[in-house]
Amino acid sequence: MTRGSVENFESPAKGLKIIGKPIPRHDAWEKALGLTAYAADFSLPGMLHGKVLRSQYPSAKILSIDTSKADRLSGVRAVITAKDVPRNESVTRFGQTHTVGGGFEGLYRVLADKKVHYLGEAVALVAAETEEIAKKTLELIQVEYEPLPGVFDPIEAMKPDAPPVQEGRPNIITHYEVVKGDVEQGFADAEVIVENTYRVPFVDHAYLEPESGVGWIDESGVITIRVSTQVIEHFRGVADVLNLPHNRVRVMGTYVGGGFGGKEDITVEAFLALLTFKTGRPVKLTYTREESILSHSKRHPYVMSYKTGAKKDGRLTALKAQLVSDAGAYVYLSPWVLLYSMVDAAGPYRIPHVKVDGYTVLTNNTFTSANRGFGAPQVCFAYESQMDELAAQTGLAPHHVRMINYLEKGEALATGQVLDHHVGLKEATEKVLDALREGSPAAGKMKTGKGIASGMTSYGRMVFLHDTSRSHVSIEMDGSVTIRAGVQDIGGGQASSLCQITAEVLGVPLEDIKIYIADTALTPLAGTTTATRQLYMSGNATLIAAREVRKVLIKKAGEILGIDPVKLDLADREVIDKEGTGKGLSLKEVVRACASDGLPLYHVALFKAPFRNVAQFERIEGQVFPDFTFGTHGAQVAIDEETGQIHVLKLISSFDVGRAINRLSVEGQIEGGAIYAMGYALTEEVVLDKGVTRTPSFSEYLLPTSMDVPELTTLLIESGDGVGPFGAKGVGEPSVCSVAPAIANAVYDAIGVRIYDLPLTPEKIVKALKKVKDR
Amino acid sequence: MVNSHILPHEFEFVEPHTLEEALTCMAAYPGKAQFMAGGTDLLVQMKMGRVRPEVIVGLSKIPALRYLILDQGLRIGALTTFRQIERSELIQRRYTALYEAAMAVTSIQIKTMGTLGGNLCHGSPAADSAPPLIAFGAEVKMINGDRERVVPLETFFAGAGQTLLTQEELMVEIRVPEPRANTGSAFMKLGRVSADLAKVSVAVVIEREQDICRDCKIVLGAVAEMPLRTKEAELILRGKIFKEDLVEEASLRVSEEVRPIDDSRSTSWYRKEVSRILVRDALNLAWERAV
Repeated sequence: MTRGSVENFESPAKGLKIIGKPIPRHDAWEKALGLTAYAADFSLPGMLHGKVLRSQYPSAKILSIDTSKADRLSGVRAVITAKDVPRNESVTRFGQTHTVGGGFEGLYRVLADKKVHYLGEAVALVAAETEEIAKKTLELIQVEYEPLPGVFDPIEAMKPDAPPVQEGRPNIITHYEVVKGDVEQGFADAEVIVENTYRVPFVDHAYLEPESGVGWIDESGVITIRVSTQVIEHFRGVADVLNLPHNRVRVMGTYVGGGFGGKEDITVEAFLALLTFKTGRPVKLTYTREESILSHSKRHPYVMSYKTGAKKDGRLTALKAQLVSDAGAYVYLSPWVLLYSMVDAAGPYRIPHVKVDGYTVLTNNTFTSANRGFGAPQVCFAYESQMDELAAQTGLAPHHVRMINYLEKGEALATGQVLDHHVGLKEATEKVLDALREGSPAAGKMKTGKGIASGMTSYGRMVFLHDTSRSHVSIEMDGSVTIRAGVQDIGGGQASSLCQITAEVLGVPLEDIKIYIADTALTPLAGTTTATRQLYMSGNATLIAAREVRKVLIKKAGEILGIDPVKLDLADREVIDKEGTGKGLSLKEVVRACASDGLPLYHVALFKAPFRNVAQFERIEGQVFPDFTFGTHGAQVAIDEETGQIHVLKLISSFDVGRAINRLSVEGQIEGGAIYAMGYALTEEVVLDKGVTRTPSFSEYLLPTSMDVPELTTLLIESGDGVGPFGAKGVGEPSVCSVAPAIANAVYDAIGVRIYDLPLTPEKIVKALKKVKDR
Repeated sequence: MVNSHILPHEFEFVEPHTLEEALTCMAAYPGKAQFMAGGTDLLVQMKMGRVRPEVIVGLSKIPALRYLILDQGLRIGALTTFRQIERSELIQRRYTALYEAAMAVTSIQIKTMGTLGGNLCHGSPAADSAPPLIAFGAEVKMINGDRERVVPLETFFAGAGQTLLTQEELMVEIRVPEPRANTGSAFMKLGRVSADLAKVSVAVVIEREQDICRDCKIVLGAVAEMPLRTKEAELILRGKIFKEDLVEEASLRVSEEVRPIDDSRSTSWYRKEVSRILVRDALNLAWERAV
């Protein structure tokens, strides 16, 4: 059961025909009917099947690799090891336009060479006529390992005598700090202090579609990869691996069956390129579920020590935190994720004195990288648990402690970044409290409780990355409209939103628009579908492009009609006189007139986010992000104290979304985010035991299914004050941020016991209750 | 071991349409063939490379093994699916614990494919259908060529993943006696999410005569190497006035009788702890139903 409502600030939808409406996405039917060709649904004649041989040890020397038996197997077309890769190692900037330093660059190694650093690291690639032969081939490759000691705990790995995970570099990848005021003075000022250590686990993205793609060489010799990805711009990295010019590799993104950050880093692309290059044949490679869980990135586990001080009336005086994240065996996006955590670590609160230290550390665990929320949900679990602990200590209501401390527009974060757009936390929390008031009664011996938590999550990339996006809008001779934009559509309605924006500006119905997306050869590059940036970046680029086309059309129509163009509007495939004189022209007529005058009926727009360089990274200061999305979650739970079973009865999400471009998409994102994070709160954990994954399939790694989904309520606020098109803010990642602490706070409300480690399992609840009883 | 996503080795697949054909097929490949019912367990095992049958005798085209017949109790064809069981009003009314177990079988997809016979023959200590069927005193009928035998389900399990069934033998029917008047039953299961195997499951069947518990059976799943009937706990209640302190005592005895392990789903400690709770609640619920 789902419910929703929208609060409009200043009737933002006024005059808008398509923006803000709950419109089914242009691709909804084909997906519902199973017609969408996802990456693995695509095949080519003569296609081979690829497989990856993976390390059986989390830390070992590779003494030798013997592929002779594998090479001789009938049906095998390629066996590739590190020595066959033209450029096996490169320092990657992970899609940045320039080198920024601060630990942001890391090693990308295609295949393990001499050493393996985590269980599941790729050691060899094969391509064969069938998937069965490919699998058999893997069994015939003989790798001789010498196991080495590893380090599996980030705190251990920080010690000077810990074995180095990667040769020639310390295990600590980076240390950042945030300093505001004098934190010791802040604690001296405090009347109440709470101090706790929180732990959050490794989490899998668990997309329904595992990593997959097909590679081939086109008729002009270009290596072409059709792949499920959030970042088509890995074409450059793929070209570098093969030592080819960048314009000789083409990446086409498919509709993605779930990304959640897991398809932000390169997955199968380089493997496909190598196998295709070697065999000259098309090759398909799809990871199995176990392979995906074992070998690809996870959400960072964090150990977070928090100390928060406040006056008896609830006003915060100080916050001190130490964050340690487990980067796994390779750097990937760990420094970035940590930086997000640093900026968000004190939460959306006014705190005079703040000190945060953060470390991200290499271990011999599965590598960690982007996962929906990107460092924000981890710290939110800590700072929002702390807020409820403060409420308990001061005897104040949890919402009260938040309300009096929320930052407002014009105030600054601990980093000094001024919030120059609306901060909708008060409205969001009020809405959640209203919705929580209609509680469900406790059933039987169950105890019920309610909790809230607020959060902040940035949208748009860090300003020092100099982010840009491009979009091409053109109008055809019959008045139909084409968009070309290199956006990856990962199920969030990325493509559909651009169609809506363009339809609004050009006054045509949605069905008149055709969009081409995600092709490095044919669509202008729009950057990554990550960081909740596509609506903001490509939405703005598309808005600019559509407006430029509109300008040309209106100007020409003004000339023909003899009316001042400012009095003209585009609506229902016509140019109309806003003053209602009845004069007008069909869009088609205007387009033809423009064409015959040689006027441009297209525009390629470039949208640039604010750029700001960072002098140094050790201490994080000033503006890091373009803007933030703020919101509050509410949860009602019922708990069986004897078995520890937690039933989430209700999840309420309220966000200032700036402007809902498509209400259905926005609500869908927020509901999806709530369930995604409910799994984080209650059941999901990739268990690693000395680097060995104990939860390699969905039999062990437990996701909530439709049967576990509680009543969901989504309450939108539209301040119109975001930096996206029409004042929109991003919601994709913010929607997960504060779910886990809201549930943890509801658990505390129900049974008076706090769990400091996610997930909140029945085992932990029963144990904690027993401890209280025994005391 | 990693699931290969494919069935990685070659095998022959035969699909008989009658029971006789199925037995003939099996006899034609001595030691090499394996029966497959719904395939929800076997196919996963094959993808993991744990079993490599050379021949699979698929049973899904044998309609004669899908039935529910009332005949001095209940006769259930071994290929009857959980979906059929959970949709039977009669089972819901008369064999409530079995109905509740079928309801608790993970997802609708698994319920639609998975069969009662397959669930039992897989030999898992966590099999949802085993505790209620043992508690109802079910027997299973197995045939091999022209030989047949009927054994109490309680003695059918022989260890983790092991049963009395020989490779050539086929379970064809589960016979559940008619419950005596004033009998009530209940099944309870704890999983981590709805679509999960049991951490602990409990089935209780109680026969009541006013305030007296004339008979009771308590069977647990996932707390030992096979489904476990806790007879000492039953003794505490049998023939006694059904009272809270006796229920507590019986429940406590259960938690002493079980022999759970630590695994990826839960811990031994927690399983012992909640066995007591589930048994107590199931006893009380079954008692209320026994009117």
